[in-house]
Amino acid sequence: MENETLMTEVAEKTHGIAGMFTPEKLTEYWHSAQPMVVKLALALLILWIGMKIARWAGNIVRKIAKKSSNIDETLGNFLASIVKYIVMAFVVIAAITKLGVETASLVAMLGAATLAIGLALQGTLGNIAAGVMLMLFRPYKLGDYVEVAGHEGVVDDMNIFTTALATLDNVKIIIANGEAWGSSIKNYTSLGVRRVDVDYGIDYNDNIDKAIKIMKEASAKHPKVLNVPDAPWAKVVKLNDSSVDIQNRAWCKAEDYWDVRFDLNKSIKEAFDKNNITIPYPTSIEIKG
Amino acid sequence: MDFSKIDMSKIGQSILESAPALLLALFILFIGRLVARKVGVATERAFNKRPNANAMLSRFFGNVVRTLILLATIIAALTFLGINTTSMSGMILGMGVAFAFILKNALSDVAAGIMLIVFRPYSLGDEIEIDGFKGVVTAIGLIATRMKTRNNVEMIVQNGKAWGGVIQNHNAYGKRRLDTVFGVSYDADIDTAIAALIGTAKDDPRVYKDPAPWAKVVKLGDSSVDIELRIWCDYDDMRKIKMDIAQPVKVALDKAGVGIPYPHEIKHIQKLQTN
Repeated sequence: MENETLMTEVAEKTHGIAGMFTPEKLTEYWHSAQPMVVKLALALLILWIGMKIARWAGNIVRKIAKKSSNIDETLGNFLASIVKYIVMAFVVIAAITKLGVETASLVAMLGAATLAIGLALQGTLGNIAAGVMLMLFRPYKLGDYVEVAGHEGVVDDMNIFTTALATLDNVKIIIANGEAWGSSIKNYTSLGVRRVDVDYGIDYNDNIDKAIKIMKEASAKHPKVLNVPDAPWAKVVKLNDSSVDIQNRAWCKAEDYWDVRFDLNKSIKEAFDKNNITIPYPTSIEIKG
Repeated sequence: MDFSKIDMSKIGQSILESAPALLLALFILFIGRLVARKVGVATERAFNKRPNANAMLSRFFGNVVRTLILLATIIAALTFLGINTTSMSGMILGMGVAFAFILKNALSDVAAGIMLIVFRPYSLGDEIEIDGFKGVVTAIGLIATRMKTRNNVEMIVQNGKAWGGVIQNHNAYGKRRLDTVFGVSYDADIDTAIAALIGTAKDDPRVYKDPAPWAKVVKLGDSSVDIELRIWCDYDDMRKIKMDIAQPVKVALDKAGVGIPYPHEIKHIQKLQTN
């Protein structure tokens, strides 16, 4: 008995479903669907206009960056794309809200995703910050000979994430900007001139004044040695185990440093030979009982 | 529980009443899955079309986009079922935060991997040094870079160490300078020795004419005058030249009468004065 009523009820419902597709019903559906269609169109419009605005905002940032003298192109482009993507995210959320979808959980998802991306990019973001610092404060520029994070080389490339050095034997060293800005930087080029300091050891029996005179002359004779800020200088810096150590100091342009240093090694050694000044071998005295 | 109390007619009715919503939700899921797959594939293709495309990276981005769309679809479907998703948002946020923290290191390695693939500080086959490990790159993954040493030991270094630290790429520039120091006797004529070294370098056809071989006195050492020979060559030839250069240099120095000294030490022997 109970089953029968259930059956009839189901049958009635089925009939009802068939009755859902009569022409009157369809127009009724259209009327009820109309606000939905309008919403969809509105959402798409928001999306379209929003994307335009996002691109426009990005371009404006890029133009402002271009006008500013201490923001270079890499940095400008980077800031521009950040602005563009932030605006786009807002536009997408606005469009979805307009559709009537509950955005709270979408926003939560976006929040979690942002946190994940933030954590993932923690290091990279640090590098970007350091890159901005490097570009604003310019502790080194392209072509400088520097020591950064324990590595020496000529600065070959600088971008927002990394600094590349070419060592003198042509190994490319790519240093994260965080590492570069976080460590002490030695710039061998930026001050223009450098002093070449080399110790030469002469025999304890040699005439020190004569040796000093020879060294000063050898320095003065080199075409790349400068007389400013100081003329060539030589003095006894140490009475060493087997030799009297005289330090030779000569100023030159930063880019001539190694040439001057190596040339002086040769010319001083040859001048010593000519004037009977000896560079002694290590000497030790053994005492026998 | 008393099953007889359940009103079957009511159940049928409520099933029929909720059927349209269920169907709609299923329909949304179906469409969403389709859209997710299509957009995922499209994303992958778009990334593959870029000039510095990488198949693995494109697939990764495709997967990320697909998963995000699927998640959004599921939330939308639940909304249509009449489930209040606002209350779920807290849970989603919490879980997301928890996972982000748990996977923090892996995530930063993945981020570094993406950077490495996009900016290419090194590519497959390059000889590099990261974090004290030196070898030839055999694979660049999202999480780690694999290298092998010349004597075939495999090394796996997390990408975070490469992108966050210092990378030394030995063949990025293609050509290299090979520096070798030779110590010659204090008695020898320096110019003769330098001429012998440069002459030997020039005899090797693999050595560049420009920049020309260079040799200068780099140090007046304890027992020898140290002359450094610097020659430019292709990176591929450098290791071979390094192994090949010592013998002809020795021959040339012998011929020029330039000695390579043993370490010197002068000993004065004194008798202890005893009373």
